[in-house]
Amino acid sequence: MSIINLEGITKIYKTDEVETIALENVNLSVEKGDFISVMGPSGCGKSTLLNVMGLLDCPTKGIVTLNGVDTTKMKEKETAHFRNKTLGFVFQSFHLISSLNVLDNVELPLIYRHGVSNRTQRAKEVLERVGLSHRMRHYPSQLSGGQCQRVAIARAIIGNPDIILADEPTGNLDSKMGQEIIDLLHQLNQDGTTIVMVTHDEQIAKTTKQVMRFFDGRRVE
Amino acid sequence: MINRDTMLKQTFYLLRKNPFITVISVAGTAVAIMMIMVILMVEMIKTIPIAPENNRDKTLYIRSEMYKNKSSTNCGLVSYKHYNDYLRYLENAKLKTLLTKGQEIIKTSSGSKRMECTCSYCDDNYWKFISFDFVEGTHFNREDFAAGLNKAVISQKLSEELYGKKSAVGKTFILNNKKYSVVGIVENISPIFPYAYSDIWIPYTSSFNYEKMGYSLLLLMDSKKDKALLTQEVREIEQKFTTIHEGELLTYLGPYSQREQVHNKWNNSPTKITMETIKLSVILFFLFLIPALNLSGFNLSRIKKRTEEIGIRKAFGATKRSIIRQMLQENLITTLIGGVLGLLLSYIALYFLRNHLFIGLPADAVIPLNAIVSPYIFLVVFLACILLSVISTIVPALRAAKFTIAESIRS
Amino acid sequence: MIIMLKQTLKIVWKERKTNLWILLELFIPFVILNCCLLFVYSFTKMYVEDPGHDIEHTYQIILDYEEEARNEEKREENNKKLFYMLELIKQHPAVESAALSIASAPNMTSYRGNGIYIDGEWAGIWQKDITPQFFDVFKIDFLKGRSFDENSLDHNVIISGMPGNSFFGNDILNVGAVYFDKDGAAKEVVGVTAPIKRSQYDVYEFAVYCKMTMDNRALPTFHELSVRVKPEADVNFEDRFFEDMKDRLEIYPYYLSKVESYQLRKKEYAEMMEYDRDLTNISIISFFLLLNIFLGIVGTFWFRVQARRQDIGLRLSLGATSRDIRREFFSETLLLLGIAAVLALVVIVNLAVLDPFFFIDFQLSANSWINIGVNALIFLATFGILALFCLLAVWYPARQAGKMQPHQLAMEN
Repeated sequence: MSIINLEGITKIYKTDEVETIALENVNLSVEKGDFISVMGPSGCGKSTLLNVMGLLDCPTKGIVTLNGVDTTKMKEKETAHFRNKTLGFVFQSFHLISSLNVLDNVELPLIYRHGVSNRTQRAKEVLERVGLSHRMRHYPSQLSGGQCQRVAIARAIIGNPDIILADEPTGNLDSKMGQEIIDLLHQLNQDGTTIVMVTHDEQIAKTTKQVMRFFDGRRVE
Repeated sequence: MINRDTMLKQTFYLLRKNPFITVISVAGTAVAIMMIMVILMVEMIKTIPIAPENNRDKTLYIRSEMYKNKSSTNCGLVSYKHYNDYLRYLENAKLKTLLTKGQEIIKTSSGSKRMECTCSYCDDNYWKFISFDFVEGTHFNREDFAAGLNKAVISQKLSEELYGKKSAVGKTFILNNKKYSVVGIVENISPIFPYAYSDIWIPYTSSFNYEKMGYSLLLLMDSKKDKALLTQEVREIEQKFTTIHEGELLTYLGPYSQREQVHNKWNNSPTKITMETIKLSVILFFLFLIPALNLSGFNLSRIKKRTEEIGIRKAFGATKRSIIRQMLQENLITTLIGGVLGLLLSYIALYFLRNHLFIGLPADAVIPLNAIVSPYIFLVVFLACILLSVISTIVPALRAAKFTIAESIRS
Repeated sequence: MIIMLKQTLKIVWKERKTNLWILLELFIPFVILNCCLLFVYSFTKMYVEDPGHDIEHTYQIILDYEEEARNEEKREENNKKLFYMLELIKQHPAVESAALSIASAPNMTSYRGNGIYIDGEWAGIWQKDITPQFFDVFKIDFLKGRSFDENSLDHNVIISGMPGNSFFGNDILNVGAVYFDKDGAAKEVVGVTAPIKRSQYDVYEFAVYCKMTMDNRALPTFHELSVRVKPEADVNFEDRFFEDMKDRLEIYPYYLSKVESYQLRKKEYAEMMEYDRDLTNISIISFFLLLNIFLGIVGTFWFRVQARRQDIGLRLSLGATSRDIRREFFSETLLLLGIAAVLALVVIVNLAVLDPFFFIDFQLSANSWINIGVNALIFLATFGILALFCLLAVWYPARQAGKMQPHQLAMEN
């Protein structure tokens, strides 16, 4: 059974003057334990695809099934809990909360989960895993880009999600730091986490199990 | 559910990071809370039962009458004649006292000292309405009153001014060209209490023209429910008067409760009290509106900067409700800081502005602390803070929660 | 210049959503501040206006009486005695002038009503029965005509003027004007006095003075005896007069009870009426509202400048000076305030029709005639205060932003 299943997804953005079709009738499915790169030129709808997949955005048409659950019928609260349990996100520009320190940023997903008692303990563990336990009390502005992205990964994995969605995680990093991040993702994948990653980098894409290519809102490969 | 420590930490981080806006928000809230509290405290000091006017909640006041005959209409204080003929027989009042006050010139018997002071003309029941603390001696009694003896109770302040530190009981002074002897000295009363405050208290029967003076009549009830009964009785008296005196009309204004009489000083329109309540509410509304508007604006601008954070929180599982709750809690902390500051400021303002807030208050007047430092006051401040933060957060928070996560994060 | 204005308009339009909020934040304070200023102005004006009478060196001689004074049959006899006592009082060396009156003396609470009928129209009026020297005792000025004398007829009256419009225009305020009172008796105006108040803190009241007659029904019990003392003799007058006159003024059923200065009376009256409560309260409230409005404007514009820092950086890098930046913000701000003022004007005019004074003070509502000029001035003052606030609020953050290096600003975000 596939863990992610998209059926006839169409996404249209409407502004005052123009209508933009970001995704047009996209069908795809991802198997559990897969590591998929999504590639394509700028504006081809890769990020939109990831947002729809991660329930960060509603599709105009189509059905998103995650873990066998039809998400289109979920209420706001259910969606929030589902995201919290099943999904982890890594963004190109890290998106850490600047007014919280590293530890609090990592703990964030657990704050929105009921009945978690050892939050700080678990945050320390995942920070150790990404090699940042010595920077727990720092604020994001005091960290380098690579460090920020590792904090973001720690935040993505603290809730043990089944799926990690990474939107150009290496886009703002130099190649050495980028490689470190990709290595981390590979490690997570080996532990059984399904990963969907948007990237521009052919080199990086090659290392993943599968590559999907998009053009003009349509899957071409 | 949400981690309190993290929330507090973040709030204070944000407050520190933006000192300018923090100061302005807190100051704005403090000023608003201060004004609201000053208005409320003044209203409370004037209306709730506080020593020595302990019986305010059970006292009714009749202070003016209108007498009409064929040729003229007279409005004024309660006349002794009509009191003596009619009001004195009110059955539903537990206790009645008739009193009037005036500014008088008094002299020591030797004529060496001459001063202007407030003089209360009252009866023996008066001492049961108001709880005085006697420093020395006691008040005149029923027999003294009935005989119209020239006996006086004076305040400690006046006693010291007239006779120095020495015991004043038995000493004499001249008032209205008559010689009075001091029988009791009471602790100084704050002029905030219009019916308790005075420098001198004498039996009105000792004044040669007491039958022609105008008075206020105070009625003590067993319980607040008796007001309707007493009102009914007064109306009956008015009817009885017309039956006896054909073509003449006697109308009493009242009996009024404490709050009604405070706001019905002289202008005797019955709508005045409702007007006063509306006036107070409208003023409080505007005092609230301005800071609420300001804080809303600040929050709106601030939330724009925090859309990203809200998006991230939602991506990791925050619900709309938890976002709104977080905003409210954060904002409540700022408002509470402002509220506490405002309360302190209101005490300071009350102290410095007391002469303006309470008319005719001398510089050394004391404000009763038990009226303004009370759980009730703290509760009001707390509720005002909650209200302020809800009003000022709700629009921005709803607006922030409206964006889809993808939109928020993209910004 | 025109290009600048066009650009300003464009920016204001482009940011209309934010500006809508700022407009609201300017518009509501504008209306409130305007009302506050109007109240403070009106109360202050009322309190400082000439009361129309002078109570310095004046005293009230309080007579007491036995029940006999109420005897209707002895009315004229009693009145005669009072007139005689007035003459006695006038003979006292310290007394300059003296008068008998009913419900007429300043700072007293009494009132006697009568009416004026002209051409079927009716208005209530305060009737004051006086002896001719009343105007000398309280130094009340005459605008037209003069006081009563021995030749005055019973239907002769003196009317007090009203500032602004009176009920009947100004026709009645002329010597020779004729009207009917509530009993249908014709009255002829022989004098017009300056506008007069009950006390310093009241509004002017329309009053008609009638000459005191020997058969006056109210005089035996409701008389007021007022004297003006020669300034040089005004030392301890109360006691001296009492001692000197105690025996001579004991004329059954009357006897001398007390002498009280009108200054003391004024104080008592003011305390009783709780005057200056409204003014001080409104002033205090206005002051703190002003403070809060200022804080709000400062915060709002601070955010506004903050939000536009990138834009400022771009302009600076394209060669704008920090003065240009400030000027740009100033003109935008004033434009917004201008729009808010126009909106506020609509509300203020409507409020004026509703009469906000009704809400604060009945008397002021019924009697105050505040003309359009004053309203316009207050509107301008409101605009001035808010403009000052806005400029102060914009000046600092705009200066700070203007001082920054362009690349610093561009780097943010």
